[in-house]
Amino acid sequence: MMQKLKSIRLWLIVALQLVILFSIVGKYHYIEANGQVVLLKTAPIDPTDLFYGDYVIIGYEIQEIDKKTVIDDEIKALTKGQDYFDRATQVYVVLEKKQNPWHEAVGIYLNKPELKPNQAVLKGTIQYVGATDEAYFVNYGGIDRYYVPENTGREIEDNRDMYNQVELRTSGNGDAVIVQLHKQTSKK
Amino acid sequence: MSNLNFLLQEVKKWRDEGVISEEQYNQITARYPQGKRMSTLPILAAVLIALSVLTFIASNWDGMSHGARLGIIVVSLVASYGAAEWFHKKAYERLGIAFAIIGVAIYGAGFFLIGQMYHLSANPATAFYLWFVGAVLVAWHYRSRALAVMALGIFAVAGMYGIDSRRETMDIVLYYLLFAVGMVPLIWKFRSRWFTVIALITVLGAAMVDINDLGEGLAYLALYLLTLVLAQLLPTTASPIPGVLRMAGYIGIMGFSMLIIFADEIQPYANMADVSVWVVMLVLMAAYIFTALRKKQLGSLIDLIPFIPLMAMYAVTFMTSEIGVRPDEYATRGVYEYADLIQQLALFLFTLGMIMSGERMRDIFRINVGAVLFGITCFIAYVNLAWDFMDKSLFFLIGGVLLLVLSYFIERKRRQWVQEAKEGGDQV
Repeated sequence: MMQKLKSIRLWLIVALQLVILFSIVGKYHYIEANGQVVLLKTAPIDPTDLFYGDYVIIGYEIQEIDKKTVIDDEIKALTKGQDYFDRATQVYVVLEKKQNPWHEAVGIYLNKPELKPNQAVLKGTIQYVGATDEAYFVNYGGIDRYYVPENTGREIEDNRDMYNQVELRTSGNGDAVIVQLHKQTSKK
Repeated sequence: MSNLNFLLQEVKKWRDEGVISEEQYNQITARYPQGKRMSTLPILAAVLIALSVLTFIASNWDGMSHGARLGIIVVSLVASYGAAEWFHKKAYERLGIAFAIIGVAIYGAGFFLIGQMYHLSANPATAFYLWFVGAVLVAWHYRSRALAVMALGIFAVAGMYGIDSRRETMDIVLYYLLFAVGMVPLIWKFRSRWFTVIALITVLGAAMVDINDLGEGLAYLALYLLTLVLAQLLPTTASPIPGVLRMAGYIGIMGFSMLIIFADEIQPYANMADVSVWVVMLVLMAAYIFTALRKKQLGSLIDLIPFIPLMAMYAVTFMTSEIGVRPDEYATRGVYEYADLIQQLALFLFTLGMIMSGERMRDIFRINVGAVLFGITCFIAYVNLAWDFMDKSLFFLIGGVLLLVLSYFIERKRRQWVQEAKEGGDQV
């Protein structure tokens, strides 16, 4: 009887471990399957992680957002009168596809705004903005790594001009998953 | 030497000395058959296989779909734990543990695999924390020391992993919470000296990194004081944990004293963080004193001496200067002018007091530790006071000779004390 109970305890632990793993899978699988397709400009570089293996760091063009785009009044109020603002603040960056094949940032908002049908939204963190800067500098924490098979990262870094577009799926909440790093055959 | 070997040797001695009869000797040895020790080979094998699983995932082989990869993780995870349970039931305990180790490794690999599949980079600490939780649960299930060591290893990596990019406050709090809830009960359960040592090195190392930004150095002192207080609070049944904690405190305070004496520039200005740390230290001291009085171990109050000078100097600082104002770089050092000499003096009082209180408490371990720390204190004083005035080779020569002479006297005195302590022990 005791033996049985003990066995059940182990299987409960195993089940818990599986639930934890699958709860992570669930969230990202959902975004990947149902999310809106977003293409962004990038320039990857190549480091290695002991546990996750080789990856390339994805830097996005939308990490610098021109002050000429729409800036939420609340954000303006937050940074107003400050020479240098670097209090990490979560913001929503609205993306829209214009004449280029990729999306561009069209606005930064403190709270999630209403989106037009052709727009997508991405959660980010303001890193800093100076009074004299032309742009806001925004970080996208969860989507700055693209994992690649062992020993292929260098090739991507060396040809970073060709790997300059990343395909994402975004949820309505601003969460995102990287789906693919696109290789351009002709240089853009 | 294992406990078993020790026991058998002792029993042999008793027989030879006539304490027990030949018959009793045979009875006792028959109770502890030599072949009962289990092989550690399965555990080693499991570690290798676990490493293979993890490095395979890290290589990010892309010849499979997402679903297939997840499937492999799930099937192999369930199979490993199934094998663990099966072998455990058949009383192949080590083999069972070996499969459980592999299971825990596969569970961890699951996080990295999922990370690769969705290119996740957000907050890597979380994955390690969840991995740790899973490992601790399995370690408890089997009451296994090997699995506990694995959990500790994961905990250590979790601490180091976030170090290059500053960890969020929430992650830091969670880290120590996990240690308290996950690791402390295991330490308590096994009461193993080396397991306690490694766990303490891990958590103190992480703590020393994390308090780096807190105030101007007083927080380190508070950390070492905390280990002493914990050592003092724990009952003797917790052995060897209090001893290890106390040693950690001694090593910490000796190291910090060396920093005060040699770096010669410690000069904390009045700031809110340090004021709160100071108050915490006062509470810790009160707790220590209270426990010492209640346990009637007045001698152990000596251990507080090296903490007092800096605390006193800091009290003067925040009472006489404005809080939050950094002193001018060229300002006089105020109360810290003679900090090195005062700390040096405190160390002498502390180590000599330790030897003497050890003698009074008839605690041979304390006498020995005190003697070693006293030797180190003499060496620190010598280097601090003589380095600048002497030709370097002469410096080392005189230092060496002095230490030899000193060690002779300490050793003679120590033997005398140990002898007295033993005789005293016999009388009781």
